[in-house]
Amino acid sequence: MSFVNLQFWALFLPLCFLAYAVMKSAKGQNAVLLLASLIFYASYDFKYLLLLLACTAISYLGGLLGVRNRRIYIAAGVLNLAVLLVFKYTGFVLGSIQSLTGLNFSLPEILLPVGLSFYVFQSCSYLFDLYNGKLEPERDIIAYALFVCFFPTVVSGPIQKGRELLPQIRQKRVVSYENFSFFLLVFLWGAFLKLVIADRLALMTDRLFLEYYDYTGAILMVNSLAYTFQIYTDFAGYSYMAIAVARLFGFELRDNFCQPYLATDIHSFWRRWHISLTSWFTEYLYFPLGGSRKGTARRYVNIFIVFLVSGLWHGAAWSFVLWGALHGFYQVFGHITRPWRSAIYDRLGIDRSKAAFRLGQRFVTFSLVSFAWIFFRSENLAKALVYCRNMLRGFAPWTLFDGSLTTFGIGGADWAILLFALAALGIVSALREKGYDSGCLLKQGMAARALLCWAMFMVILVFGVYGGEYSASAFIYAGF
Amino acid sequence: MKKILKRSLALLLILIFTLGSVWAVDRVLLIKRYDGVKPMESFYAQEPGTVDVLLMGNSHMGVHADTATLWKEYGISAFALWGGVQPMWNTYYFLVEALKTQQPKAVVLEIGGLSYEDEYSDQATQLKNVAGMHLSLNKLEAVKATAPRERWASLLLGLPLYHQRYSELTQEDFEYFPWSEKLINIKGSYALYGHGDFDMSDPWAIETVAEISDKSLDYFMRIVSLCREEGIKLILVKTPTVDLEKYQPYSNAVAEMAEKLGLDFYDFNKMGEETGIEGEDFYFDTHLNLGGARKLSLCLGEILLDTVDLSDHRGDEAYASWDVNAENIDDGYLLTITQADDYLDELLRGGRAVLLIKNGDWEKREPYLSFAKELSALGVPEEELLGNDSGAWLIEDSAGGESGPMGLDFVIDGKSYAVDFQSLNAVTENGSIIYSFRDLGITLLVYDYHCGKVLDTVDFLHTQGFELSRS
Repeated sequence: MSFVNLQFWALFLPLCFLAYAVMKSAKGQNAVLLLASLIFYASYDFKYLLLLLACTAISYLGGLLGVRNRRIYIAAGVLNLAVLLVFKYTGFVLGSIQSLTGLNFSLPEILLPVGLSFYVFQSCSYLFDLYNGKLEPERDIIAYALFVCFFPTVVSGPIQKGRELLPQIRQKRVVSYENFSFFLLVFLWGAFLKLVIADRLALMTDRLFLEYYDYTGAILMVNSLAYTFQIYTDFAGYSYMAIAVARLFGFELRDNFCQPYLATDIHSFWRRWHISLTSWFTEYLYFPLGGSRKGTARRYVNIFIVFLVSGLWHGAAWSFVLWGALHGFYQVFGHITRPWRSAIYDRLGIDRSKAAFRLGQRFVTFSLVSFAWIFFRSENLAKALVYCRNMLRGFAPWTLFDGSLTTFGIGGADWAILLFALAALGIVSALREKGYDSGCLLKQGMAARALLCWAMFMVILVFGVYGGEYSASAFIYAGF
Repeated sequence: MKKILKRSLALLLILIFTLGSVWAVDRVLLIKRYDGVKPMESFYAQEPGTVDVLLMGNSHMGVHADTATLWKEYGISAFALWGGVQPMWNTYYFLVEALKTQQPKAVVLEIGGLSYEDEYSDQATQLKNVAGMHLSLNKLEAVKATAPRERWASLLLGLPLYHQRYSELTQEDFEYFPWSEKLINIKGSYALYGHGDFDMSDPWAIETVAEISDKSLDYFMRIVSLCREEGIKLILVKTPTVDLEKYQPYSNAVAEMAEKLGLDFYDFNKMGEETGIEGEDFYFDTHLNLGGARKLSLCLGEILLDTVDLSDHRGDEAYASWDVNAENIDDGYLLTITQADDYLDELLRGGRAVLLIKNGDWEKREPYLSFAKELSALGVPEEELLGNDSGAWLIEDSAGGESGPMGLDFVIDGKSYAVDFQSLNAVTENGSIIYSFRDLGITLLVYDYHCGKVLDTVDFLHTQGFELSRS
């Protein structure tokens, strides 16, 4: 069951909301939401639920016992991370040892539980906050379990911090018309991004990242561009839906994306992309490593460490490590060359406040990010390198116009829909960049809001990629 | 309180508007399959209580029974409510749906659906056998019988499975609304035009008796019970097929079963003499062409008249849509004929005016001599066709009436037609060119009284050996 699943819409959400709405106290509301969250998570696979409960119990008990000895916070955090290491990285580590030593032994087949990386990080943030004295331990087990298992965020985030979410859990939330309006508007926008754009682009990228060796130049470039938008609309779409569903129940979650492809440098990109994860790494890894306080060289090393770990967090494969390393390199290189670049701009008389200059910066940043996604998406490092080699030879620009692009799962009409949808995304992004957010829309009259919701719903209904044979569970980030 | 009421009312209005929009989109995007969806959709458009005979089952019924012939020859108001590769459970739920608005006197059930052994059909077949049904508890039951649980929701709603049709919409897709006047004129049967030539097998040589699956048998028995409860005469048929190896064992099984149940069963494969169906009456090995369907329907009509108390509704204004259906089927047939002799045979069925135009002169030898002889059956004297002049003749009734004198100006159904061999080298209708001559030869302009227009124009050109061609 996922947010774009009929069961979720027709049964799960209405029943959950009705039960929630009739509850008179925060405890009652929390009990309803916890039960719903466990059912939601169990719908992926019942045995995964046991692991979720185990991680919840470890961090809950760690939180209580750590009051006497703060080291218990760390021990519980390490235990949680150990679960992540075992389930996510055993195969990767053993496989790497096998490759390096040539030893022949069978690799264990361990399935990665849905959302493990997210709820382990969420539990750890709670324990680390306790350790740092930023939070008091949560004694109400239902409230704590809800913090970890909350169904809008448990599968793919946004990763919440205890000090942000637990206070909201403790107090009674209000079921309000305003929250319902926000939910409808933001959920539909998320579903639009996911079903109309991301899943349509996936029709091509799934195929071309498999058959890349048959193609070169322009086709592969378009494909990597397509994936650049696919991963954004897929994950941002999910995040918007999660935020919207949480708001329906009165919770306010922070934005997880802030027009990342309008960033003018890589540092800015990471302040806009998967904000909850960046914030986690910054607070619980970068700062403890010393951040920028211990000199420039150490700062660069710390940046590299954070991005390598971030790469590994996304996937247990060398291609993810290289993806992280590339971003670390982009950042360090950008920082080192900043004075030189400034000198060149000054000498050439380039006015850095001009829109054209910022546009150039955005183009360069977007291109670098887009290139790095190739490593992120490819099955392994070798395939990513072959993809890049093929992409950089035999440009063949005519393949963009001779109909070739309509032979990879996206037909002519679908390309037209994609272009319109991406234009809509561009307009919304530009408006948000100017400071117009969902709040501005919510201030409009009811007729205008209703018309907008109706239009989005109808577009999704007709042009969304879904159906009986479609697997909506394939949210990219649910795999991490 | 007032604010809450106002908001609730507004939300209700938005909900109604949205549901209305979804319904409209569903109507447009619905797959208009002729083999399942279209028959059911057009069935809903029929006036309640007008269908006397329901022709049900798989494509063997939908294609082999011709509602036009049953109407034209016997005045039987029959409707073919069928689906492609339709298993017995879908036939049962179609029947339940049909009985909501109609009280047929007879159900003719093609037993080919009993030959499907799988628990579920393939996904495309599942869809076309339920998508035409309106949302109801009966549809829900049909969906549950049709597909495994994971497909129930999408099959019930339909739209998730066909919403991506937006890139292939045609004018027809916008005609499936309750106010559309076209649907009532569709009576379900589907004609295949053109023919193959197959060797007929001997059905008596196959004596094996097939075992019918439990599921098929269960739903077959439900149909039997339902017809008995409703006082409807159930007639079982196996329509002709060349592929007897597959179907005859099931016919043999049904023959035994029908005897036990006291039901009428007509195995048309064993009734070749009565039907007159031959190898060339097949479109391909499992389906008859329209010619074959007409022959079968003549035979079926006789059976129906003998066994069921049916009224002749011809001439009754309430049944005018059966006239339109019959004309549409016949017109569709005419437009697809590619052989000269088939074309002339069809014209001789009548109901049309023909403007026969002879353009130019050529040597009078074979094959024109034979062709002129065939053409004369329409009513133009053979000697005039063998003369040297260019000219035209109007045959007001293509059923073989006498033609008028040779001329250049004619009036058909109040419209003026002029044949100009000189400056325009064309035929005009009320002054506008509707046809330009391509070469020397014979041209037939066929005016259909039912359509009120020139339905077809065919050439038999001298340079092409007087073979039928269209420009």
